[in-house]
Amino acid sequence: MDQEEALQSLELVRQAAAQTRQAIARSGTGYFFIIWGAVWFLGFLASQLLGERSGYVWFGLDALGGVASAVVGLRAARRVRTTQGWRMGLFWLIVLVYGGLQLWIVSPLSGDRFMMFITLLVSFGYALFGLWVSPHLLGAGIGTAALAVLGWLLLPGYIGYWMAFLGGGGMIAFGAYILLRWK
Amino acid sequence: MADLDPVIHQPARLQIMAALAALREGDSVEFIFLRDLLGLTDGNLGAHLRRLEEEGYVNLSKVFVERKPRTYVSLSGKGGQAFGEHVQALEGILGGKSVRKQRGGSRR
Repeated sequence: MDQEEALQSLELVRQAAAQTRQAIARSGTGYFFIIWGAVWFLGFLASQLLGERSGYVWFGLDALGGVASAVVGLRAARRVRTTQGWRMGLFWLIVLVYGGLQLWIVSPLSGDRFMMFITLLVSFGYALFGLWVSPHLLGAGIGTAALAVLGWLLLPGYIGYWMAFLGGGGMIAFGAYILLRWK
Repeated sequence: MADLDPVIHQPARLQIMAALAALREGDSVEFIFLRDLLGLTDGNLGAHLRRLEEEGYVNLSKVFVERKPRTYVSLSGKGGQAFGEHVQALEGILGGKSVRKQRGGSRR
């Protein structure tokens, strides 16, 4: 075998490995962003328009988002069986439990502060999770947190609209980008 | 220096091994996932996987999901070691080092 053939073989190896990692990262990720982008869009609109009464809307939307995520996750798990699945579930459970405990300690919070707390907690989860699985998620987490803080400083009375269109809309657009471009 | 492995050297099998080696240890992929990823036909992929299984390089497991059979493929320990040595041999060629003659065995 000469050097040219060896180079071609190593290129085949590199491409096959990269395609595999990308296919696994892609499976489900785009749909997760679209599902939770829609939850944020509708939830934050409800928070802006209904105020304190939006809690029930958030509860219903979160339940729907959870069911839809479980369906997408199970479909993705059929294609790739991984030992990492339980770690991912445990990670989000830990984030939510710690968030719940912090909320309990600092309560009561006003509606806007509660919204910001949840937004920063979830974006922190994305960023941390991104360090582990994908730089795209890290960027999405940091970007969402930066947008939220900017809206809090510049448009304090309209944070619900701000997070609905930029946070939720951005997640939907990012999910669509993943589905269309990560091929 | 490591030898080139004639079983892995065949391009389709090299791609299969590279794809499986990119998984985390203990992970496996569905046959259809691998077929679509590498652009192979069912028959072609099946034949290459059987060859790799004969050599002990991959593990195939069949499970039933909603009464439909699904085949999952993963790299064995022996396969991982053989693939690593094959890649080392390829890198050795690029490094200008001499490579020992390939081990016997026909390409399928």
